[in-house]
Amino acid sequence: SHMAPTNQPQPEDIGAIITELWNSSKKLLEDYQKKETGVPESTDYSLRIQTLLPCFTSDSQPPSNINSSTFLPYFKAIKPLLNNSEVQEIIEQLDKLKLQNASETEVSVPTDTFECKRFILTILRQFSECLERVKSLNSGA
Amino acid sequence: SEPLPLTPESLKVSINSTQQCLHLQWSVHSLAYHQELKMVFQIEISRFNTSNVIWVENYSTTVKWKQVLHWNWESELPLECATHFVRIRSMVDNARIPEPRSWSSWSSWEEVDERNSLGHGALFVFPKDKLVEEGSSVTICSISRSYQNNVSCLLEGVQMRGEQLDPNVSAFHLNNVPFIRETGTNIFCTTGRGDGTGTVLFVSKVLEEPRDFSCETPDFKTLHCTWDPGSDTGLPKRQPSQSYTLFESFSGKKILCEHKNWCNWQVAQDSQEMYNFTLTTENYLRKRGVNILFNLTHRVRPMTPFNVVFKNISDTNATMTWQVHSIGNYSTLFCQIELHGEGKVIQQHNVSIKVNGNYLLSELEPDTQYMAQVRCGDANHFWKWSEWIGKNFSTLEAAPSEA
Repeated sequence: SHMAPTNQPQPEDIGAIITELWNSSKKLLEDYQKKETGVPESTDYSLRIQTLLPCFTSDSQPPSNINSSTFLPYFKAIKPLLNNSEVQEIIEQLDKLKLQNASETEVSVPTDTFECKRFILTILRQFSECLERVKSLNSGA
Repeated sequence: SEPLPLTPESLKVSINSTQQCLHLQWSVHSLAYHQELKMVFQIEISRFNTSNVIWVENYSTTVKWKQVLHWNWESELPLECATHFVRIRSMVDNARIPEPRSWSSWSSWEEVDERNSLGHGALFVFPKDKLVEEGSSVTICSISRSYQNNVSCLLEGVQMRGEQLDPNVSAFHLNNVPFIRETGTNIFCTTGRGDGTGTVLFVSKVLEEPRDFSCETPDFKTLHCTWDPGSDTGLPKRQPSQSYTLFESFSGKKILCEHKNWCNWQVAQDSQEMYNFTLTTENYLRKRGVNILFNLTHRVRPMTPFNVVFKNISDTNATMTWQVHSIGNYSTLFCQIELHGEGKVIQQHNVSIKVNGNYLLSELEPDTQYMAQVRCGDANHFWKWSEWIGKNFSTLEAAPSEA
């Protein structure tokens, strides 16, 4: 069923939110890569997360087609593991784009410490790449 | 004829993987009821196969009837990475039995293997999330399921040189490991086919002995102890910051300090004059202590004087008065007064007081702004000055000279 967002931000506001998210996601990824040297992404999580976290929703047009509802629970799950204020900013921006009564998936974080770092890195990478594509789409829209 | 050597029996070996420890227990059944015998036990430990002996140690102890004996061994290699074999023999260590004394026969080899608990997976790395102190040595090991994998391991992204212990197991010896970050040092291993797994080595700063540990009292009711803690050895979710406890040996009292660089100790009403304090700091890996012995009356640091007032101000004089907090019945305070003019100390005076203080400042310039400040110390056994307290004042204009 098509869930119409009730008080979804205006297209021009969405553009500003996307730019904010793009900056935050890039900084967060760079900070984490610089801090956690020697942690490679995990091919398993990449594939799984790509399927679980499609960048775009199928039923809306740019710029409001970013799939914030599915990225949001992942950022909420990794927030306590990252001592970085950017995460809270991303959560707040994603919240603005979220479909009002979209259900929030339960995210389980790996218990193994090293795997947990790989999981975090993979999410940050996927989200940053997604924002790149959204931004390029928006600038073309 | 020489008595039959008493053979160790019922040897049991258990594993503590986190501590990388083997725990042995055994007994000597053929000991008589009243007998108490000094014995030497020789323990052999082999790795991968019984002929590859890696440790031999003699353990001397006195054995009683039906006593269960215990002995621990810490492995530098994570125990998950190799099968270990243990055996033991004994010899009576009794002067009445002439040399050469003979060993008993060996017990049978006891095998200990953690690898069957590994679960499925192509590659494993151990230890998992080990906590060590900066500067220590650590052995990392990888186990690959099949022989053909040429496993390579990287420390913080840099290839490590490994030692092949057996076709499936490689060991990587790290010496003098540095502290890199609170979230741990990253170690990642891969097989030739892209499978990869990793572990995190949590390196804690070395717990330092507290420096400049000292205590003082402002009022004979509370002792205020301070120290320099050095580095904080806490690691989020892995090791809390080190704890500090104060123990006083004459009273036998101990308190856990809430702060990492100071602690207050309540002085009991009729308590002793001499104090013997031990400040102990502890984390998961180490414990350190420092000790001081002092006489309470020699550690008085008065509270800052208060209520500074200037009276009878004229063109060249002013009387400075101040109040002090009571210390004890017989305490005399020694106070120092400084007069500042144009940013410089222009007069300095000392005075002994019992209760409140006052001092006549003279030879002042008319119509001039000054700042005067006072601090006090214990006159009986000087330890430290209190803080300064000061105030501005101005002298009056000179009275017109008689025409």
